[in-house]
Amino acid sequence: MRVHEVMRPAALGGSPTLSLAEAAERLDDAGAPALVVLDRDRLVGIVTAWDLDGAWPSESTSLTLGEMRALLRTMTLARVMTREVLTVAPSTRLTEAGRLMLDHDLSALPVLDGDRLVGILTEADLVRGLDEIVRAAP
Amino acid sequence: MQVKTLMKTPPVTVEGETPLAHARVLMRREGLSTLPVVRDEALVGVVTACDLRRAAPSTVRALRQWEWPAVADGLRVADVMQPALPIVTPETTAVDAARQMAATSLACLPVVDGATLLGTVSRRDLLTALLGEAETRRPAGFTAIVAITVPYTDDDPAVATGLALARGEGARLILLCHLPGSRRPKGVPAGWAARFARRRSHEAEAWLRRVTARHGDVEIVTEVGEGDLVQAALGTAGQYGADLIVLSRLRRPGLFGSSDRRSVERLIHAAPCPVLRVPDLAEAAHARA
Repeated sequence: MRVHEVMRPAALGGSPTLSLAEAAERLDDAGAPALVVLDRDRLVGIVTAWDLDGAWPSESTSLTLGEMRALLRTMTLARVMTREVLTVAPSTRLTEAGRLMLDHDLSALPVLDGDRLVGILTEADLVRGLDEIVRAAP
Repeated sequence: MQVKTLMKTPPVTVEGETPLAHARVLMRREGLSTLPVVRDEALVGVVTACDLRRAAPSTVRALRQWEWPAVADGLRVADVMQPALPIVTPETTAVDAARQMAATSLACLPVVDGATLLGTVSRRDLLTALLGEAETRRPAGFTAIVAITVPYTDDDPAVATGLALARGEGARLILLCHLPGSRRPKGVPAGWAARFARRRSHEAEAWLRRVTARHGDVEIVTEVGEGDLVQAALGTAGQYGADLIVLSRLRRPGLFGSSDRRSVERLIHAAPCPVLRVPDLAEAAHARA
């Protein structure tokens, strides 16, 4: 089984200038584990829910609520995103993609066909595909 | 494998009365993004980093700034937690648990015995178990296909078949251009023969580059093999972990060459994978003419 058989064709995307508040809202609304950062259709980074959590103001912050809010609205994804993104091809074997995700502790892998983003492989997709493999050949 | 071998115990838990701020600190400190919520060791729900974030000021727009601290202080885990579903027991198999987990975004599943929380099993551990299972299943398709060809035969059925299979399977195609061993004729100096062999292999490489350039949609690796066909094919197949060898003609049509039938038979016997010999219609037509 190959990545293209289980990936989600539409990856949740945002530009590097998107604010953290906006990004968190998009992620939570879509229930997606990661947001792909695109600059004119080119993949430049990835942001996971975990990255956003790390960038959230701490409980013991001395910022006022107004400052905190302003920060979340003005701080952009470019500040927190992971720039070295591991990707797979649509034809990559699912088990290989799974290894990659586990070894590097990733929650999603963007799928690139050449330079073009064609989808995203999330952990849920991976589980679905692996389950099918296990079922097909008991 | 059962959940009990993967389960982490005792679990890190919070209670319904825990303030949100405490839950958030606990998550960061323990590196967890899902915490079971308990009352007297009985599981009542789970709370995730996402639940906590939803209750953060930036997402509560309707509140006036000065109202927020009062609200935040009053919020407890019980206000934002979700019912714990799915739950698994220590006897659930890892594969089953992974299936159930896939439907959720929880980072771990609570493991219970009746109502009592025994521990948690992490997404990662379940995924590792499932991947291990899937990897032991023999893949049905091909990942590496070796096509054996001779130079300058652009219509070689082995190349066409290799390309079509590699394209369909998403496999890598290894084009092995085979140059038969040539015996040095009497009277030709050794230096000349060596120069001839070098030139021949350069030409073969140039030809392979041209073939590769025409088929950008397939991942192609090229190799030039000299001497014994069987040795060259086995070497290449072993190097790339081939799961299919495709061949058709082993010399250019119309030329006299060594009998290739014996080579093919030897290859079939010795190959680590199936060997597909594609009928060569051009050669058959040549033979009839």
